Amino acid sequence: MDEKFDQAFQQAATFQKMWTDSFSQMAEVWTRASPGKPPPDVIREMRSGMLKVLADCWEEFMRTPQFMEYMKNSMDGVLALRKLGADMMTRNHHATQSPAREDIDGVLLAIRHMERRLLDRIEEVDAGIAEVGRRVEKLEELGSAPPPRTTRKGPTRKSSAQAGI
Amino acid sequence: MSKRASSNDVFSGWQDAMINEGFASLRRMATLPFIAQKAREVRKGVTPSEVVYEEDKARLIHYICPNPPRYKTPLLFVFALVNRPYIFDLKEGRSVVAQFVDAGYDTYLLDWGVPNQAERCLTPDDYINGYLLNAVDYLRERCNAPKVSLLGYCMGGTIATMFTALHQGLVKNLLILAAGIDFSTREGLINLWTDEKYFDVDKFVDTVGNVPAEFMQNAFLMLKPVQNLIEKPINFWENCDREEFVEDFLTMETWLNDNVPVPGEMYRQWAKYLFQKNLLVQNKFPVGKHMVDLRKITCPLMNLMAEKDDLVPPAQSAPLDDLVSSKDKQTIVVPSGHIGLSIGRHAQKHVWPSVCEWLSTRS
Repeated sequence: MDEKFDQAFQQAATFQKMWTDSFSQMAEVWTRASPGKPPPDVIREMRSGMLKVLADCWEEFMRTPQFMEYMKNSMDGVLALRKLGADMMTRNHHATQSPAREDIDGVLLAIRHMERRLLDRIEEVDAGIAEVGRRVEKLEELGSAPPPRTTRKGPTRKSSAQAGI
Repeated sequence: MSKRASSNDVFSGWQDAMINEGFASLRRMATLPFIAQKAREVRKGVTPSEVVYEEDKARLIHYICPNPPRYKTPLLFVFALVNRPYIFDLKEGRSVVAQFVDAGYDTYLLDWGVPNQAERCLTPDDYINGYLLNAVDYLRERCNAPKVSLLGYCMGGTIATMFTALHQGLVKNLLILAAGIDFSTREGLINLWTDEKYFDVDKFVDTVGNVPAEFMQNAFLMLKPVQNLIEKPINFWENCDREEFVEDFLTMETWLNDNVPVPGEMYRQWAKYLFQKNLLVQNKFPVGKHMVDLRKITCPLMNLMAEKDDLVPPAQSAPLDDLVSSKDKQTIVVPSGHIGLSIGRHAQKHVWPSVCEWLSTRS
């Protein structure tokens, strides 16, 4: 309880500091106004100076841990509320025996998993076919190469005279 | 006497200014009833185009050129998933695709479409090794080209980079604009806000499913709340009697407010693996069963960054140059913001012609 109070106090203090810094720096801009310029230019100069100061203060504030903690808490609250609403709708749908979003999501997820498994298997088959193709190409290359020249050792042909015929 | 004369001058100066401002305000008020009509007349995309390939919600758009293309390698634009891609073809004189079409490139754009709840399970693998790979394969066959050039903007740049790392053999040139690569920097507010100490991405995605377009839009708005919520309306009020200003303003606002939801699983992996764990620079970002290894990128690389980019600061894009194995690399830092990098006057006049020139010798 004390920790939560401290956290909230820190966030409020940081937010307040941002505004006090903004106002004091904006007042500084007013004091720097050049009186010699025509009125519209003076007004525009002061306005752009003030807005720049405000932008810088906001940028600094949005970088503080207190601001990010506040954002986190807000987000958690919104998500919790949304989940509560979704759970209530799911219960109502189930009470009337109609499909809820949760059920449809489950079906989609099952289809998705099946799709993923099929695609993975097709990818494996594709890789296997590519490998077979590479091996066949290699064999074809070996098959089409001319055989190497070798000297035959076998019976020599003799002329009929040599054969005594 | 002179002091009295000078105070009279000051008083009359202020009086004149107030009278002039009063008349100007009346002039502006007279134009307000016509603003809604002008907003309805805003065109989304101006260069003639045709859809040549479709897969689920994704569409491949071909920009029609009256003359045959001068370069064989087709150029494919890849945009982010959070906005509509017609920022590349916003209006006459502010069109990036028109620059490339006029320069003689066979130009295409991949429009991811608008996902519904049935697409909440789509992951980076589906986008990179699914839609983008199929689009690239189609282009290679259609254009009879062995490779394509990729131009990615913002999240699209990161996607294009990952695709190139996984399929380097299909990519001739890689051009990226304000692409997030190294998320260790805390310069940008988005990097701070997505820190795992403050943002439970699993709880978020499990509750909402697809990340709503309004969530992304408000996050972008809050990066510069004073400029977006105070300065912009004041600026509009002061210039709403200028035809050209109103046209530019409405065109830009139409696009800025045309966000689309992001598929839940895609958002989960992007936020967790990039913003929170910064896996891409460690060459450990998983896309399906594969790890993205940036060292496998060897093609010519053009890395464009915006100096005043609050969404993707230059420190987030610059490290890519040292992580790839490409020998032919060029970096351009444009003195503009995130959007001005593509459609700003300086970009249209100076940057895109030089990018076209760079690409011409590599296509």
